[in-house]
Amino acid sequence: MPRHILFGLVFLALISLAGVSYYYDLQKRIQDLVRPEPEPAPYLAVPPAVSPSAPLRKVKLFFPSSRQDTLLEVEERDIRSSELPSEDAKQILAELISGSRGRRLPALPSETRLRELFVTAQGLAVVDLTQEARLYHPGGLMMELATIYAVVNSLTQNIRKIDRVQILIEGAEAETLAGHIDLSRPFSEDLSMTVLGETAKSSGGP
Amino acid sequence: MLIKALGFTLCMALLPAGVSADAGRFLVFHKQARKAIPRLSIGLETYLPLIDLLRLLELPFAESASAGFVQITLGKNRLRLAKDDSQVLVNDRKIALSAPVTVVKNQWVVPLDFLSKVLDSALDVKISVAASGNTASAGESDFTRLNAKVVETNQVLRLQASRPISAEVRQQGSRVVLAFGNTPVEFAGSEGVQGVEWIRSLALEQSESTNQLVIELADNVRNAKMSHLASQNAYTVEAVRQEGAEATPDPSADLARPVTEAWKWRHITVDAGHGGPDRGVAIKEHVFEKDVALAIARKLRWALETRLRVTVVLSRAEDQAQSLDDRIAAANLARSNLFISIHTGNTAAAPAAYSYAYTARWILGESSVSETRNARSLFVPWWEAQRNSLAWSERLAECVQAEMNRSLNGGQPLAFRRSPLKLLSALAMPAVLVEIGNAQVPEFQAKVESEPFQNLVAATLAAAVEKFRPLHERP
Repeated sequence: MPRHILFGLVFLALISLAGVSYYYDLQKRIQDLVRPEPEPAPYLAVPPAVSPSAPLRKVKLFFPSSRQDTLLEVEERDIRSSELPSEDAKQILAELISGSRGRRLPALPSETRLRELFVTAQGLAVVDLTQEARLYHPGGLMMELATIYAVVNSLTQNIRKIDRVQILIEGAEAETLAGHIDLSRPFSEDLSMTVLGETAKSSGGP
Repeated sequence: MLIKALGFTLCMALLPAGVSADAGRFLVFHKQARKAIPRLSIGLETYLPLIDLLRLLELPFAESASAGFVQITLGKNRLRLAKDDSQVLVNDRKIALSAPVTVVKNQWVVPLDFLSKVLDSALDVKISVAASGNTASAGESDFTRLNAKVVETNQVLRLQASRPISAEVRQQGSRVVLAFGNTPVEFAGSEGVQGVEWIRSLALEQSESTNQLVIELADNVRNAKMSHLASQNAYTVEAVRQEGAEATPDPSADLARPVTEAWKWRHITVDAGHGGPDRGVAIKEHVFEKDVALAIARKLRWALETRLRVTVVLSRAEDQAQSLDDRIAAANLARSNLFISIHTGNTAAAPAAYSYAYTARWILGESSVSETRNARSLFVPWWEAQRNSLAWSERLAECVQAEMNRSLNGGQPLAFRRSPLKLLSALAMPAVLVEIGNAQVPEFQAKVESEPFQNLVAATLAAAVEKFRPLHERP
């Protein structure tokens, strides 16, 4: 085959290869624009079934105070409003696990994940956490109490249908969270540890 | 675990459960007079009839009752109480009580802390409740606290009042009586009285007809010399014995005290928290809460055995895993007279390494199962075994916290705390949990393993138990 034809065929092959690569890359970019990657919900095993366009509502989250070990302090956050109390509750737990945006202590270890959450007709919220809630808990009686009531008060204060909260670890009743507080029975709201009237507004959403 | 729980409830059949009954009268000092209203005991809680209380305090009110709730209008204030709800609405503000409001024989009854949390704190009606929970003082005059102490080599009883007080002092045979008229008085405690042979008993008798401190003297005391030290707010009582009587105890007096012998301590359980794979708080590298707790527990056992001459048992003697139910069952089945659990604290919030004593409390809003069942049932649910001992546990916690404040907390006047603790709630004896120090404070980390510090902690706890013993052993 004459050399100039050979060079021409090689050149054509290279151009074709470049064109095909460009085509597939362009296709992928267009797909990404049309269908964005869903944002991961890092703290929830099952993301809440809430529309991204649902209206926002403010919720009060309770975090252990960094000033005094017997206190919980309130922070406001935004979540997507849902018709189901369980979906609102999942978002509240996700926000709690994500931590305080003020100078407050964590309510739960950041390694914790929410396995499941459901609310019964009798107003009992069952919160099933992964074992990291216990394994990575710093310990200490007051810290344990603060963790429990941060979860309980955050749910009961914001969701009218929830009166009591039962905490499970890995799907089962646990003796205690970190060796002290009885987890075998549900908790009711207890605001005696809460500093009332102090809120730190912060926006955010799932 | 189910078998152990059943076995425990069977053993508890021999112990009396909480009963709902008319528990006598509740005395209120009001406007220079003493008035009383019925007092009810439901479980371990003291209840007072609400309307009788408001009438006694002469508070003008209007009442509006419906099925399940009652609304009280006190001047410009509005109270809303719902049946079986421990939250009271005061002018749309929620106040949590220690127990739910309820209705007994068509009367609305409220728990005792309604006086302090609602009337005193929320409605500014000046009223204070005595530590005994049996009396209250309404109006400007607060309680005068009386402390009894034996001084001068056990020969003189000194009654110290917290403020100037005048009493009519008289001797009636072997009784010395200090009558206080309508002055609100409460007995704060005694020191050294139990071991004194010439004082048989010391008691504050209060009712609508009487408000007096009665000191019963031993038979060999012919007379008592009483003095009023007005400048020191104190009274003293000195025994004048029969001629030829020896200072040594009369042997027949011991035989006359079989009730005291029946309450004598014989067994204490000391629990070292956590253990085995459950390391507790990480205090520093390779030092964990379980190790420090065990070291202190061993020292405490030695100190208690030496001081009190009773059997002291460790719930765990080695670094081993042990469930809370096993610890509870062992102490209950041994019918231990006292239980003390040792832990170390951990909080990033408090900058100081304070030590605290804890007693059990039940989850807010949770009513006692024993109330809803047959009040005279001998069976007590596993997790409610502590209810009958809670008052004693709180007195023990007061002693422990006082000693820890003195020796470990730099004199800070800290109060003991209450928490829904799994371990304590199922114990059928006076029980406290102590958290020593704070693992996040560098000074505490530096000294926690040292012998002198651990000895100090053990000595402090032993001293507290020694002070509590005469309060508990006295019949």
